[in-house]
Amino acid sequence: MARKGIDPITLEVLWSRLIAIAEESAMEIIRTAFSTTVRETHMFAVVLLDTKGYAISHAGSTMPSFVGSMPLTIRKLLKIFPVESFQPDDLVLTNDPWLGTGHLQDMTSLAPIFNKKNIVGFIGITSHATDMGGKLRSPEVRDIYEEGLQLPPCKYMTEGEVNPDILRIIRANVRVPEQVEGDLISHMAGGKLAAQRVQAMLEEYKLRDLDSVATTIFQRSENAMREAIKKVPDGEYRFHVNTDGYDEPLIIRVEVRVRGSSIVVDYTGTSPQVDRGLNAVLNYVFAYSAYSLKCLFCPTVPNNEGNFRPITVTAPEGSILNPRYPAPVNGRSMVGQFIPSVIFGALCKAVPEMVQAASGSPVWAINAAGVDKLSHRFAGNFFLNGGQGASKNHDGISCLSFPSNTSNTPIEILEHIVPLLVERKAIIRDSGGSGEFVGGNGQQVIVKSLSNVQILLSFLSERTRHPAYGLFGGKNGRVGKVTLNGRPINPKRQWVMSPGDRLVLEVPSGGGYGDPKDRKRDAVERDLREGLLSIQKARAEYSFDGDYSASDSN
Amino acid sequence: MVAAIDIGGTFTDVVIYDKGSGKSLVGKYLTTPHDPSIGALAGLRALLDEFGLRFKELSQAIHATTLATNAIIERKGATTGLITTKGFVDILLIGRESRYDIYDLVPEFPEPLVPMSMRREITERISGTGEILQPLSPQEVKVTIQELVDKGVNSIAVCLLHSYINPEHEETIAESIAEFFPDVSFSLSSQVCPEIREYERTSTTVANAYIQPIVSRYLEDLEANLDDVPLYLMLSNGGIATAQSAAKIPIRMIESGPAGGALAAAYFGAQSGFEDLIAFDMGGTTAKTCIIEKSIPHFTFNFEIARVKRFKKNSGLPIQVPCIDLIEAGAGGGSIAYVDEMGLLKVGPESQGASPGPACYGLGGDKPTVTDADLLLGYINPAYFLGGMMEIFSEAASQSIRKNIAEPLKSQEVQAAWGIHEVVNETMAAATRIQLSERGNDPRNFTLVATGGAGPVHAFHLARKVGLHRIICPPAAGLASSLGLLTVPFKVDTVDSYVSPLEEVDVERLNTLFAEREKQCYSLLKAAGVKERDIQIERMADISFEGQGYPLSVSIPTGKLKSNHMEVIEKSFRDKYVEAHGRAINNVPLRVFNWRIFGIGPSPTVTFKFANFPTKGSGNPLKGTQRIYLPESKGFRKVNVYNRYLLRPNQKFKGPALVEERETTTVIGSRSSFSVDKNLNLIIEL
Repeated sequence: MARKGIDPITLEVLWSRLIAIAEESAMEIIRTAFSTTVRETHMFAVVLLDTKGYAISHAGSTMPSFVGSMPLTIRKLLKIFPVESFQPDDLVLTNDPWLGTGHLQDMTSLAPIFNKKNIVGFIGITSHATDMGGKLRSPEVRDIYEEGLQLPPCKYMTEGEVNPDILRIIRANVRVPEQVEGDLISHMAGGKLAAQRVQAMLEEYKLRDLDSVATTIFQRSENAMREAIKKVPDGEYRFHVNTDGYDEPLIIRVEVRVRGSSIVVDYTGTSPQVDRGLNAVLNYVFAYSAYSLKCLFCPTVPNNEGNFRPITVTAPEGSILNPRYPAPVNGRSMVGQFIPSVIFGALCKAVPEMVQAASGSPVWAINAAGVDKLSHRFAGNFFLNGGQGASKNHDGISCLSFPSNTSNTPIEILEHIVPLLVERKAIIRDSGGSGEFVGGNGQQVIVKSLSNVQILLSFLSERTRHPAYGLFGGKNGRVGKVTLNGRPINPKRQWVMSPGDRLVLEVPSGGGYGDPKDRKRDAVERDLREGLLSIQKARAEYSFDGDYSASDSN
Repeated sequence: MVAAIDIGGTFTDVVIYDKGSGKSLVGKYLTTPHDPSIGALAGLRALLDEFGLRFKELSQAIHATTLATNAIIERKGATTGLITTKGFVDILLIGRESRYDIYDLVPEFPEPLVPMSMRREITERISGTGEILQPLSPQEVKVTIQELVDKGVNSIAVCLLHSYINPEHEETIAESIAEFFPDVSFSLSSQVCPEIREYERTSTTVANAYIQPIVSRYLEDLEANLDDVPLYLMLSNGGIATAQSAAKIPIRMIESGPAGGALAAAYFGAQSGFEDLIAFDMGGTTAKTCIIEKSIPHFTFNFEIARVKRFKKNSGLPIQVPCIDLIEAGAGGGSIAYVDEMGLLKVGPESQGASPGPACYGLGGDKPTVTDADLLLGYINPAYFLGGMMEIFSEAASQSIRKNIAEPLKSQEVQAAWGIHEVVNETMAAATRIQLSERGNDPRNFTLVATGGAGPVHAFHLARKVGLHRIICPPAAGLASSLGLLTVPFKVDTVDSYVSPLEEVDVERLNTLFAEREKQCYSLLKAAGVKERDIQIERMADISFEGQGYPLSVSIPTGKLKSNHMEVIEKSFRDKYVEAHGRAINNVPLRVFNWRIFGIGPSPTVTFKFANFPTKGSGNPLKGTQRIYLPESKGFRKVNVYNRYLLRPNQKFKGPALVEERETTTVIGSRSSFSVDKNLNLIIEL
């Protein structure tokens, strides 16, 4: 071996093992979690970190925003709780949005991994709680105090014993204490399992700690990321997108500066922070910025600290992408999930074949709660995803979560949790932006109240006025829409659904890529056959002159 | 005499077994992919001829086949239609909306088995409590079916919302199909998979409809050619059923061959006195593992087939049928090794298969495979491959690994070969650990049962990694699945979703349900020839704490239940939960989802006496010596090579060593000992 340190074969084995440990821990969490948010929609992440709080590995199918912000959270927590203050089976917990992922619902825990008497690393877990008290999650809030319980960093568990006072405080503040406490139990289960597995690995390979393997993993990954960035032409690439905002549109402006093997992402010029829950803290902004660049340049190398090192992210303090405490933040995904589309927009001049047109995101959600006539409390939330943006050689996929990774809740499960009847959940035909490659379609969901009492409703929704853009001649996607009993409503506010009311949500679709004139005829015919394209649109957008019935031969 | 036939991708294995004497004849024949029944019958005939037997002497034939799986993977099923509740025609396209690899901007998903033009909606609606909110129109039903038939559909999947609670509408549609279109087969979700979660249920029902016509035809043909020998099918639930009843829900035959392998492992393990096992079968393209506790293979009710990305979970079509929990743990002997863009060594999932095969086969494959690495490490004897029947080119293996792995990694050829062996084992170890920990099992209590051509080559180092202390290599490792078929009882099962807090379960409703389902099980088993007094009924409930989504399946009492039985059920669940997840949760109520009934016939008692093993009699088992790579010494050492067929019970040997047999070599590392027991199982202690 030319390089000193770990040989590439041992490295591959240890690296796979460290990823597998995070995966195994994630499985344990899914199986032990109590909320649909964790177990059905998988809104959580497990990250294995070194003693300095740098990410070594994480479970595969997970939340990009959690994975990217976690190391920042953990490093701040380690300043408050230094390494030497930990005992085995300790667990530090917080939901501070500025330390964590940007809103109170996300609880981040930190547990040490001991090998004999020494701490060799940490396991970090973030999961989204169904409820954190305060106002039912809605961007309507005016400050952080309306959003619910704030839990500053604390030792939730000391040597295996949960602090009963902290638990009581949490339980007293949330609408669904069993779910919130239950999810925290799953943090303990997942953390414990990961620690045991790391210990076994160290023993098997006669290693004292993770330092040398972590250093090598970071170095290799950083090199791979830098090599990939070097291929991007140097320059300053600018772009901006508009979001619906609360009443007034907001602007996210970016300059991506590529120099050699490094990238600076600068959000100067972005809207100042607002007095509604539409502010995203810098941790969250960093996470989605780094994630966007990794997807573009280095998607096959497992993610870790090394991938982050060539990237710097800045946003003006006091803006919607770097708000000051106590700004309201609970709808932070309604701005932060625009980040990939603004970065892709900027870089489309540099790497046109790599970028993707905008997706019909952020992910939408319906939160519904109430108390029925028998005094049974019900509360549930479910998520809806729009169409994916198209890219070179790839049509966007209809109803696919991006940049989040949120599964839908099955209708049959939903109808057991809340007194709603889903009358329709279907792809909106013709809605994806036309192009040589077509944007993914959005979906329409029609919901009727079966309740005999009023149901409190709030939404997460965006792009009802500002569509997902197309690229290189590709058309924009269709905007979204929310109507209650046929009348359009502002979905950023809270609403009340009366018995028999009908709600229609149309989730936006993705933008197209390339000139529609260049779309291959067999692709047009396939879309006609699959019913995803109408003959009218085929003729108007793609100059299709064929006979529909002939192409519908099977 | 009973015949067992297991049709795999490359080989068709046949065993003829005499119940009286235990005499077992084994044969391996090439599979005939375009019509696998041809190869199976030819193989059976050849084996019968070899020993001067006739068809007439067979009392039954037990069969496992990859036909159902392959038809889906290769998209060779029937032209299938789908009928859904109005408003939900896109259910197959929408799926669960998440991505299985977050960094891949262009993930691929499997094409639905039913194209859009064959999907139809029906106006109807049933609520979550089973109430009919919108009745069916018979006229609309008929017109809809007619449209599908006009499009050439010959199999229809019907999947309506909440049909797991109230199947009435699905059944009405079925009656209409049967009455007006008797040639069209149909699959109802309330029969194939009556479980909550509409996407997974639809996916399963569609897959069933897709394979039903070809599986039925295949089974009819095979039965016709068997000269009236009764035909039984191995199901994924670990039981066998008559060909006729298997053909009704053919999706339950998915993975039937590997299920046979897991049962063989359970059988051979129990024979040597070990009940907690990990079945490990490693063939040419994949390695599969299954956890067995108290001689019973773990079960799953969520399976996945036809992955677009082989090692990526959730990149395939979900199938919800009771299935022996086999997971694809990693690569096989033919899997290709390469160096990736980061300069790291990777193995699989691409495979060279049997043709062109590993570089050392000399059949034109020039990519380095796992088998090539094993050969360079001395683990495979080139002069005794498939008992010396196949020529092996060591220089080709060496060259391929040197050029493709060692040079790019700037390492020695041997280190590269060891790296391949090690990386493959690491992948399998990771998968095995996850499988064990899902139920909180401690690896030190488990014994690895290694089968398949490459299984015994990799078992030792895999066991060390996982922390196992014992390995069993049964005789005829390459034929384990087909031997397993002979150990399987008749088995039928039912499932009903009745979702409720455990304390609010209506015991009377449950008793009525169980009585009806158990009657159904009895009549199916009796139709297969099982005597009533031999039938055993087992019940399970899928339970979780209120709010959790992944229930544990817990055995519950049989017979007429009383309300105090709910406490017994609660205790069983709590015990099982602590065992699986280590920590008790108090003061949280339980919720039950599904109720399952299993009707099981008697397990056959079998003792195999292999009649056509290549060497019999006595002699010195020590064949000679060979230099093999030992990781502890970071180099080659000369070790003893033993002839498997001449090892006698009670002789104890020390590792490192090799034990050779016709289809495989067992690699035994340092700090270990081994012996064969009276059942000819090779047992390694480490």
